[in-house]
Amino acid sequence: MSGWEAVIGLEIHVQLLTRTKLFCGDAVDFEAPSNTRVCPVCLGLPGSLPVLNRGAVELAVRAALGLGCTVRRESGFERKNYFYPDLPKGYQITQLERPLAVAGRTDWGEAPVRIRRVHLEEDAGRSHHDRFPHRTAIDLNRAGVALIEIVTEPDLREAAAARHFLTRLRRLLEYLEVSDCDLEKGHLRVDVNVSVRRAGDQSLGSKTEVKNLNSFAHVERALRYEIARQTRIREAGGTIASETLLWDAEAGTTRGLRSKEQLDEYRYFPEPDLPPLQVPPADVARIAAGLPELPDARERRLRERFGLSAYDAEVLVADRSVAEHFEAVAAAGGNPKLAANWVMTEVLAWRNERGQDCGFPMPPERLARLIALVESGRVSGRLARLVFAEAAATGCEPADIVEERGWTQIGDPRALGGWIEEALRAHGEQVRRYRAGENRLFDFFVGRVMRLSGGRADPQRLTELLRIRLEE
Amino acid sequence: MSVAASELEQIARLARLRLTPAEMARLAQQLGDILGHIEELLAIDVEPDQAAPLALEPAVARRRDIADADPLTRPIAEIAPAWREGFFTVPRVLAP
Amino acid sequence: MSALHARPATETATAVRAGRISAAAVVQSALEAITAREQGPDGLHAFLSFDSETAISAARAVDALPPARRGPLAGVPVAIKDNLCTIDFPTTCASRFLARYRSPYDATVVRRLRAAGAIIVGKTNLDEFAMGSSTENSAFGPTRNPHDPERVPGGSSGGSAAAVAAGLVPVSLGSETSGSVRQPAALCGVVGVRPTYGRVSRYGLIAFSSSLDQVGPIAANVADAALLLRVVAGADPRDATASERDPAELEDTRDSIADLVIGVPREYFPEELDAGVAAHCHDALDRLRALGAVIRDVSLPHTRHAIPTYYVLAPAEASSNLARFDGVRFGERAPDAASTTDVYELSRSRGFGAEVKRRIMLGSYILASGYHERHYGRAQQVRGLIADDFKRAFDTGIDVLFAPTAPAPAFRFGEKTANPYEMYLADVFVTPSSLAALPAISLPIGRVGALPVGGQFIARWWREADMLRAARALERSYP
Repeated sequence: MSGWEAVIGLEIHVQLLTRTKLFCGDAVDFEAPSNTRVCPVCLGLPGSLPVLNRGAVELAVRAALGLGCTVRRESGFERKNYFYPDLPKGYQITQLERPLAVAGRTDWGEAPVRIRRVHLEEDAGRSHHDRFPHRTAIDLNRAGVALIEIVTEPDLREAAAARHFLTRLRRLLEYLEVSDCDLEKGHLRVDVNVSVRRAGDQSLGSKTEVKNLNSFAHVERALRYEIARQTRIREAGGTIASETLLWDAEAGTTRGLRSKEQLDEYRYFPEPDLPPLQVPPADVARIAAGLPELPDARERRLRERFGLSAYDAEVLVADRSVAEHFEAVAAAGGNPKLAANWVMTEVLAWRNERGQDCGFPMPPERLARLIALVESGRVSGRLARLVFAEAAATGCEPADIVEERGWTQIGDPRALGGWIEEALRAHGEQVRRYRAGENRLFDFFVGRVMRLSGGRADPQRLTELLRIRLEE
Repeated sequence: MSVAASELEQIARLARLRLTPAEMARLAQQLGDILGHIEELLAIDVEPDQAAPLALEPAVARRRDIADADPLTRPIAEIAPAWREGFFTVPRVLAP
Repeated sequence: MSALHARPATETATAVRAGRISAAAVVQSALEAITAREQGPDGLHAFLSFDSETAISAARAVDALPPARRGPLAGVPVAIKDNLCTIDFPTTCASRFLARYRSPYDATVVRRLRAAGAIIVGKTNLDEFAMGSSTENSAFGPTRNPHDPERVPGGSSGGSAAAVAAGLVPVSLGSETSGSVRQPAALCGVVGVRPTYGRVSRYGLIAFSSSLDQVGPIAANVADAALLLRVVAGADPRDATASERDPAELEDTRDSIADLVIGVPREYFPEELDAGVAAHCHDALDRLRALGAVIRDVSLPHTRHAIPTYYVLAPAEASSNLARFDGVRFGERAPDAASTTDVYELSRSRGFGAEVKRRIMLGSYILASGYHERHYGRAQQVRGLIADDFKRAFDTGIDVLFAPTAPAPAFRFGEKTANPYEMYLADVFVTPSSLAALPAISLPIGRVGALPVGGQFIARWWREADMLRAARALERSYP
């Protein structure tokens, strides 16, 4: 089925990290019991009015700038009218005609992906269909929570590219501290628009919109499925109906909504309860000046400045706090390559065991000092891991731990010689076999000597001396 | 100007109103009448930038991101037409 | 000497603050009068609810305060239009949908009244959701005009105007979308103010058309209306459309109007204007001239487009504002609803009256595709043209405009209910200034037989002080 090309655009809803909702002062708190983070405004009670949260605008502008968008001096809100039990006012306040920001661009893949718009809108509540028999239960704690919607131009051509884009987008938003981007908690929700056309054709065919995509992996699978489905139909001379589809993850297929829901007409009009949103250029400049280094730039810098591999740079940069930790270790004098290894192995393992927001095992300066102990040969790499664990657990200085435990590395030939003699004496049979040509036994002797030294033997010196002794 | 019955039915569905045939007939005539009067607006000469927006105050300060919700003086359970174990309830909505 | 409760609010507040009379006694007197006047088949029906216990305990709380803290409206009985949310009275909007609704929060204006020492004695009747000009659209029956029980009090704030006109309370709050304070004030022979859009918070005012709605005071005299306005005006962090301007600018104690240029828009004096209304307007202009004001003819050419413009914009907003009345979270849910669609459709169809349904249908139709672009966009533009008319007039040096408030005195019940558009025309002189977001005040300028006639001053944006001064001067000129 070659000769066909997919045209993919994404619409991504991102929950902003504000303390309170977009249009009222209820705390954003999803752990709270149902319907306890509600007030007249987000309950949609008669007479209540929305008042825009300044913090949400700030975060939305950060996101827009990170995506290279132009933030408009004046934007405005519209009402999107439809009925649903968890939509309290009978309309959603969103930005249709006058979005906050437009015309961005990202360069994360083979081709740039343009960002059509970034706009603010409020979330709906949650409907629980399985909570009670024959009833739908409605919780409005989430109603009115601040979201941004990011809409790309249809610049993506492959399912995998769409997934890659989303991974990079999430990393960017995390860096900008705009959102927690926890997919499982619905902080980031993706709808895709997809159509297929003959390769080389510049026109856009009728597209389908696919919803209910709960992970980036599902985005990719759903796109693959939908591209194949559309291609089959087009190959056979059929046409694609413009419609909204749901991804059925279990079946691995898309299916249409009931036709009634397609009929909804949103009757948008300007929200009269909110004056136009002014974002003066000075505010944009201030927010731009406060942006952190973005992940793409940081990756590039880590490669260039510390000579890290592309892979290492990507792993370190994937999490902003990890990248910052690494840089602090390097800045404190830790050999950058060793520092990268320590952070990517021991530090990440420690963090993975503990989960999100666990912080770091020790201050970067302390890790730098531990790395210096290894680099100078005072402690072996193997023991250094134990020192790391103990320093992380107790908060003690690595040098003190090494001292107290007597874990300094021993390179003295006399001490090493003594352990070597003891090991060879105890294993005469293996010595005979080694000398008869069984070379792989060398590591066995290294291990024996290490054990006798309590792990303190300098492995390099030990190897040298052992080889000399065995070759005798 | 008149409004087609099919159009009215669709609008009633959008507005979630269930109207009797008598109400529909009356509305078809009354809306037609009102819309007829509204048609005159289309004949007015409007230069696009002549019709400036109302010259009111510039947008006022927006809300700071701090929890300051207006507290409810009575439990939601007293307001809700159907309430169960901390939830509003409606007859089950078929999951889409 | 008039009954305790019927004295001007300014006097009552001064007396209560001085400890000469108790707030409880004033409120007791008002409630006795209300009870007497509301009762029976010929009752006024200005109130949808009133409650002695609540009001008197609030009055006692004011009496218990040290005099200095009793507030500018200390002990003044106030009636509140029932589309303003109150925690201690029902808030029904004269709709079956909210027949048993109790708001869990107070409107900002209600909080300000309470803080000023005013005592809310009850909630007044209105056209359902403020949609109407006669109070005949109330789900709970119409209010009578105190001057003629066979006639309407005007609307939608008919209950608030009738309560003041009948001397049951010295002041009340109404709300305007387009003339709903001024028109009933005119038909009942009292003073009614529409503030500049944004002068008064709308938080807790049940929305009809958000870009037009404003809360406004009704009183027996201009000074009381001004006092009430001063109390409820001002910025509100819960309403993004409420202005930050200082309500102190409402104050202007000058008596002279010799410096004022008063414009008379010729479009407000058409041939069909009731002869009695026209005569009283000309008499008022003579009085103003005699007081030293300069009277000048002026034209507002887009006036005639105001009603059609209004009937595009207001129903469109209303159709959206009333979507929240869905039977899910508050209000009356149809008990036999078997599906969510039933919950919506049955609750709304039974909860709303004919005029409300008509406007929801009209508004939904206007916003639905096909019609939206042509008509809604155009109406927005014409709204701008109408505002431009006023701006041009004011730019020629005119301070305030003077015109009749309503084209005729109070009409009979049922006279205009058959044809909705006829009813809409009752607002022809109050709609242009509403669309233009301007402030205006209606005050009594005479009678035709038993029926009062109202005239209105329309001022520049935020210049309520000018129209209040003109109204005070004109008021003083009558015996």
